Amino acid sequence: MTARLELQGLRVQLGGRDVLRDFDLSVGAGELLVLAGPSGSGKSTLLRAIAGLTESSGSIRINGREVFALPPGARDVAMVFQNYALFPHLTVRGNLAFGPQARGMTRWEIETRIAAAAAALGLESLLERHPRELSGGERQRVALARALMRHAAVWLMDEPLSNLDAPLRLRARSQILNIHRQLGGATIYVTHDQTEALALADRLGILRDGRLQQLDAPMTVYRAPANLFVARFLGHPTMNVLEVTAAPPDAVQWNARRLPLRAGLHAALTPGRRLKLGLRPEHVHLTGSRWAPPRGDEFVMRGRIERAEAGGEQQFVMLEVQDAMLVARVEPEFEACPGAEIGLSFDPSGMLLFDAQTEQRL
Amino acid sequence: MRPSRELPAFALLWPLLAGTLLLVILPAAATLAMALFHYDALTAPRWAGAENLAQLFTDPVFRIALRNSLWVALVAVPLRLLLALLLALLLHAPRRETPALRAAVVLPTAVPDLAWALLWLWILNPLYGPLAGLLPLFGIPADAWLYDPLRARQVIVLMLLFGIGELVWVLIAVRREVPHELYELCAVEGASRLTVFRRLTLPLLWPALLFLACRDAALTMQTTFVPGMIVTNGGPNYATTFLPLLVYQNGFEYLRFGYAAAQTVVMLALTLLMMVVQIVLLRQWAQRGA
Repeated sequence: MTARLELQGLRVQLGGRDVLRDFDLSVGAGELLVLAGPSGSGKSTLLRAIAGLTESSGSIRINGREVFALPPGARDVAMVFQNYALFPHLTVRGNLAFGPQARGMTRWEIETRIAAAAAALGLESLLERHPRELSGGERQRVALARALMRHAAVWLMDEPLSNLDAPLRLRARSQILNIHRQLGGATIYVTHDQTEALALADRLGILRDGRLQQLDAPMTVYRAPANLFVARFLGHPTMNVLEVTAAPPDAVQWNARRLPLRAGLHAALTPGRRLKLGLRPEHVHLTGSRWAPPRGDEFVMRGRIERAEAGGEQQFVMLEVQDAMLVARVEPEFEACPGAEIGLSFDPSGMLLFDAQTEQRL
Repeated sequence: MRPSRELPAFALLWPLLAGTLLLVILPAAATLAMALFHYDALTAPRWAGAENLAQLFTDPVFRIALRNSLWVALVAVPLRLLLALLLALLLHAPRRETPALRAAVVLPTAVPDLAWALLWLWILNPLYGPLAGLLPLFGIPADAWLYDPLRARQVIVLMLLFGIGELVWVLIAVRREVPHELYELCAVEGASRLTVFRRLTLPLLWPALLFLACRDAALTMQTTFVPGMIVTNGGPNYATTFLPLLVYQNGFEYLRFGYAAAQTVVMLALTLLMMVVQIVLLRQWAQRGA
């Protein structure tokens, strides 16, 4: 896969503060790279720096060409904004034609492209309407179609679906995937929605304070997070984290209880080392739950049910276990009475171990 | 109990409504009535019917004043708007120097009309005024505005060009309402500055410009009063006798209140007509532009 977009040592300062530092990234042709992170982590700033809308230093190469000194219009980049940035005084057709007209494309060529873009996104019947006459989903499609007008090498999408409601978002997601596949450009898609991130990404990058925490296949990021921040950012409800101490050779000590670990984690167990144990809700099993493995684990302990949260196709049970709050995932039919005592066990295969100081995964 | 929404609204509005009734609507009605009488404030009013109005059509001074007022409105309003637009686009972005510059733009508007006129009497004084001293450099005699009708009216327009603080203020506010993403999109699409101005900024500022043009046309009919009276005193040869000045002279100098009232009514009708024509014209242009 050839790299369409390459960033090296990119640095962006806003108001004297580093928003991005030493940022390296390479996106291949046809790749959809999703960048996720909390607000203020520098996601949008990165897109704006690539587009040339924010001053930056370092190297930005698009199709092997250094574009650092070029104005935004000459960088061969298409951008989709979070609030769509449609011109309110122009019709859909006018909005689509704006960029090509500004770049001096011929009328015939523009009409051909409008027809193609409108067909790709089902906008044929809306071409003469103004943005105010469109629904949110339609506006979003117009914004996408406008980016489509430009056969750009690099696509930058800044939370393009965050203003849509859930069912529309699902449809728009597949539209974005379709278009991305057809064009074969390099796409950077920024979102703070983890479901979207996991669903769309070829590779998923997690950003925090302007630094890339991890960049990997989405399920790798989910299953083997580089650190506690990434582990907590992905997954809903958030991962359970227990403060534990190493108890060599094969276990950790959690309050009064010894928790045996799977073999892969034994190397990290130096005596007395303070650690954090991560467990996703699906790895906390409750006795009596159909989703718990049939065999009884040897370290069954007891907890008290605080409350249960219905989640449609699943149910989350909040438990108090040894003065800590844990969340377990069970089937929706499971009867969880608040205040009731219940047995629970941890799935050793789902256990993740982090250093207590650096919070890096071990 | 659901609180009534209309009652507090009226409670808050009544001082304004009372003021408007007392200071605008009643005097306007009185003017309208007075236009139908001969009245000199010394003897009892006599019924005139349409005589005052008819006299306007044969009065050469009224025709000159009408032409002067229209000339100034026609020249000053577009220039004022153009200048205000230019300044608003220069000053809308927050930079370190903008607060001082904005203050400088607004300051002349805050100066009372009379003080402004007296200041210009000094600026234009052919013997020691700074502007008059510069005029010969352009081949214009320093005292030209005292005897040349066209120069005199140009001086009035020049004075009006400084009082655009409000226009700039409104246009800055409207410009700042335009989402910055639209400009960023233009940058990404590679649009030139001219294209951005012609196809984004101007169309989005158009409704505000339309509104301001109407308001300014109405305002200019009236704001010529003080400069026309103080700086040029209606001359030379009636060149700066504008409608409000003529109304003032007829009423308070010649004590022909009925006639002055008739002139006022015509001035009001004219102002309304100008606003209607502008709204229609500018709307048509806006539609064609889009």
